[in-house]
Amino acid sequence: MNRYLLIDDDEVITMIHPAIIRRVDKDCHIDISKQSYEALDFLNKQLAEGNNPPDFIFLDINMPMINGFQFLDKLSDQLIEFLRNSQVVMLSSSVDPRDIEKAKHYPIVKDFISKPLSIEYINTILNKESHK
Amino acid sequence: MEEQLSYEELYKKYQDLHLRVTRFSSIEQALINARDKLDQELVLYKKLNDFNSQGLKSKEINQFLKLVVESVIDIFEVEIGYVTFQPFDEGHKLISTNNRLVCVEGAGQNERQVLEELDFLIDHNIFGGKIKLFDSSEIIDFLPEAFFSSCLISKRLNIGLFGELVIACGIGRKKAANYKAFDSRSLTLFTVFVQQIEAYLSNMLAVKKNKEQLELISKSELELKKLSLIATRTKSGVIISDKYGKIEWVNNSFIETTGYTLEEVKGRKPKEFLQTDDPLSENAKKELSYALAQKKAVEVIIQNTNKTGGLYYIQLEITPIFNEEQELLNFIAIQKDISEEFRYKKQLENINSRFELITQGANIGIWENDIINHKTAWNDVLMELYGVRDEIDDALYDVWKDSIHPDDFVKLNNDLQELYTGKISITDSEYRIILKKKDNKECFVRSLAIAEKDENNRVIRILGTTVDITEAHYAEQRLLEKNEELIKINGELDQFVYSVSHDLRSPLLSIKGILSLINTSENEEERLMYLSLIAKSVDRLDTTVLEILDYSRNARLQNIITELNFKELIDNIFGDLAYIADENVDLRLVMECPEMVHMDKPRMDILMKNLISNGIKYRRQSNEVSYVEVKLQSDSEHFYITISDNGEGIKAENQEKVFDMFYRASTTSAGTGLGLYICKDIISKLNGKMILMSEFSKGTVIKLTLPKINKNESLSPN
Repeated sequence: MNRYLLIDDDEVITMIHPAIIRRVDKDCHIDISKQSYEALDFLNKQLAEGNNPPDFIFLDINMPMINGFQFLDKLSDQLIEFLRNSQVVMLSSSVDPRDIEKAKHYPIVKDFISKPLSIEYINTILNKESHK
Repeated sequence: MEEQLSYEELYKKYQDLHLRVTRFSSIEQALINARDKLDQELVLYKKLNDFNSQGLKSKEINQFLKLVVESVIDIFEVEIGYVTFQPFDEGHKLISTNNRLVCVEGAGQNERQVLEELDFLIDHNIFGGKIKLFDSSEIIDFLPEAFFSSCLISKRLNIGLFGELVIACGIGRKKAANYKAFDSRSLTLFTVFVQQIEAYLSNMLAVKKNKEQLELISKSELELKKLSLIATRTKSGVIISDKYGKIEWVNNSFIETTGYTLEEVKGRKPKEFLQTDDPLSENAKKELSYALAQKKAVEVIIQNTNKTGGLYYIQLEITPIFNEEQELLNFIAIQKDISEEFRYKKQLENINSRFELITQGANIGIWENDIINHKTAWNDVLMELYGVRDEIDDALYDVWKDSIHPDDFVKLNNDLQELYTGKISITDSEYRIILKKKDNKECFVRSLAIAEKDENNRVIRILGTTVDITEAHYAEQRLLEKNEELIKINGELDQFVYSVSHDLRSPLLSIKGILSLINTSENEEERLMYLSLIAKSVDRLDTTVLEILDYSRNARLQNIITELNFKELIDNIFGDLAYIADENVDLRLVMECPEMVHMDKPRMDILMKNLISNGIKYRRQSNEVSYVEVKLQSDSEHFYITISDNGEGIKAENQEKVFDMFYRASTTSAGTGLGLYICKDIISKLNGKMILMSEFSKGTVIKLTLPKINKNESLSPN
């Protein structure tokens, strides 16, 4: 069973993205954080309790307080190790080329896409994952 | 008896008759002889006549000489004819002879050599003698007796001034015995013959000479034509005068320069009407007279005058022309007008004075510092700048030195030291000066200094310009500030566009996502839920658009002050915002001044709506009842508006940022981040102040101070 973590402050997005994921991946577990620091707490807790890391993390860039990049900066070495096999995908509603450039400096980031998530995209990444 | 003649009588009669017959026949013989002789002479004269007519036809001297040889053989019945002509003016001797001679000599190949020998013999009046045969070292004697008869005749004569002619003829030894010696008649004939030759030859030579001279003349005419063309076309004045110095011809340039026509100057001496009393030209005049008297070429610079009395300087070059006999023929004078150069000098002076005007007009200070003589000169502009008037030279230098701003002194001094020592030849410096004579006013100047060196590379003078750039300096500073501001604004604008597009897209993209869900959903209930999500996104989009509109209105609208009821304004806002407020938000207004106020209604509306809605949006979830309170106070000059709440408050570290465009400090509500930015902007437009006091989890107080404006006064934004 795939585990998903959605980090997004947009109320509507946090309602529709899980629905989109479930259209493809019916039996999955989805955690949602509306704030970056909430997500940090969540991941640290998972690590401490010895749970599996999320298979996919969808990280919004434009968030108040701590934005997507600042979130990545705040990841501890242990968390980075913990997320070694996780697919971190950054999301934005407006794709700024500067953001794409910036994302390339984070090895943990596997992809950079424009909102919203689509059924096709979920299919693609699941297929890739199953071929590994 | 008359019939009866005696024998004696008869014999006598017979004797008489016989004598008469004999006498008669001798007369007859004499007559015959005379007739023969006449015939012979007639032939000779006829031959001579032929010679005449043929000689007339001859054109070449060589051809004529050949004819002479043929004629002399024919007329005098000799075997050898020999003619030479030696012109005086050239070395080449023309020789003609009949081949007979050559044959006699047994020669053929080297005729010339034989003829030269023969010539030698004739020259020495010994025809015959020793002749060296061709192609042999053998010397053979051939005396006149051996080869030629002694009845040979030769004649040497001059043909006018043209040359010397030698005619000789002779006869072979074998025939010599039978040859009649030249009698007086033959000699006469020969003389006539020679005279004719002389006449023809001299005529022919004269014609030839004339022809040559004609050719020469036509050739020299061509040269002359070329020369005169040059003289006509040249820009220099050309005068050709005779050997007495009287003008024969002048060219167009001369006419243009002097204003005289050729007719007016012909026959006059140039110095009579061209020279002036110019003291500078005295020496030149003397030099000129001396050289001309000596018939020598001369070149001088001299002042001349033209017909209308105008003075100008010329460079005069006179060359005497001699013929072959070294007789003076003409003088050629070429005069180059160099008054152009004088004019240029004058123009330069004009330019200088104009330059002075320009520097005056452009407010450029000009100065000069003579290092050798310790003299300083300033132009009026510089005097004006420093506020000095009649300072003497040294004082000017001190004025300048004392005025330099202490902070700029060292650098300027270094620059100038390098200039004075010749290390560099130009400096361009900007420095401040403090004008003691102008209440210690501080000015910025830009000064360009150039070092002038002597031939030993020693700096002798420093000169330069000084311009007051105070205005420009401040303007430049203002420009830099403005530019920085613009860069900031531009950055904000960039951020604005990015954020706006982001905020506009977010709800749209959400809708896009929802639509994909609706499309794939078969559950009616689910679909309705998605539709409500779409409605929420649309609301958000609408809010963003409205806020952008507010922002743009504030930016564009002029300030319009109208009288309004503040209580009414706030009540309306409370009413509008009621739908987002839960029942547990207490909205209250405290009026501590009259309700009717003069304010910018559209801006106040946006401002208050934003601040109040913030208080409602960021209320705190607690047991306490949430409230937002608006209080209005005023004194004679200001309105004081306080908006306070007991909401979630703003963390200290975020308080500065909340007014930045698109900054969102809270995550609890979906704000655009434009609200407080617009508030800040409005307050700045209203020339007001805003103070934010907030404590996290306690509440926020915003205090506004707005100047009171009368109805008719309009604030100019910034």
